[in-house]
Amino acid sequence: MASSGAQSIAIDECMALDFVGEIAQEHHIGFIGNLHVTAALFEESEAVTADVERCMDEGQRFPGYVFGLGGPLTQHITLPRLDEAVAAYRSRR
Amino acid sequence: MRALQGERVEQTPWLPHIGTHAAQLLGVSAERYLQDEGLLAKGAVLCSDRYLCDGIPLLDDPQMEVSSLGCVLHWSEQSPPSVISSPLYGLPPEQLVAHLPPLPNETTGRWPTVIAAGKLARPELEKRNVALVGIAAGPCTIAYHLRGLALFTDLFHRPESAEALFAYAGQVSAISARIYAEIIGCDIVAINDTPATMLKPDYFRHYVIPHLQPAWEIIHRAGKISSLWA
Repeated sequence: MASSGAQSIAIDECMALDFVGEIAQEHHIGFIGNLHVTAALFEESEAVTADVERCMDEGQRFPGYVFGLGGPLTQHITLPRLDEAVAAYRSRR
Repeated sequence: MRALQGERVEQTPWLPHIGTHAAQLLGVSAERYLQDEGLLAKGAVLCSDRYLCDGIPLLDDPQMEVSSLGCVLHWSEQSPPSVISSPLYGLPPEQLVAHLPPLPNETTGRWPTVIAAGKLARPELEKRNVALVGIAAGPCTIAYHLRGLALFTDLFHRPESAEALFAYAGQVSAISARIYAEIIGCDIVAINDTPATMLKPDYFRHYVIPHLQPAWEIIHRAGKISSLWA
């Protein structure tokens, strides 16, 4: 993907963000990712802010990082949890 | 924009993969939302305001292109439609080329709706300094929707047929990229090709990467930012 000719890549939840960051840096491209959308889906899952922290900790180590989601939002999303995720991101941006 | 070109920037930007989430916020079905220019535009602006993001997709439906290429869709209340019939599925591989559908353009399928939505959303997002993102289906997504699971057996048994289908699909992706970049004026054009992640790396290099190049050329020539989503 990094050598496909695109200026940036977006990756899903299965990839380690810091691993992708290293590859992106090597290829001088941007990279987007990869909050686990399921963390914002269910009340009973672990706090969504923990996954925001993971993204920011791993992504911000590299140039070209853009905070994003590991997959599309669904209509079953728990809105307060998504709002919480955005607030956590904004406090770290 | 600078971050998406690999630069370190002062503040980490954020760009959500929106799906049909805006339909939830607007209180309408995904089916209605995805086919209504006003709702698409309103949804993009609403999500941008609510989530304070730096870029927002106009439409996030991987089946948009193939609906005008002979695929039959099943619409859903809460998610993008599913392909329930692929026009090339039952054909012998040697007949694929003869049955490839005519290439789309900005007047076919849902493009007029998407273009109208873009024209409505763009000035509103510009006021907010939010980038408009066009998401085009990638070559493997289009080839897979047109051929169904038979695509993967073609890769083994009839690679020349698979090659021809990927080349056609790459042309479709490039047309979508042109519409997003040149007609709608999106700031970022992403090629979304999730099914390509099912291919082993050699196949990805052989069948997908060459057929992404026409889209990248169009996007870069238009001065827009390219992105590959998978």
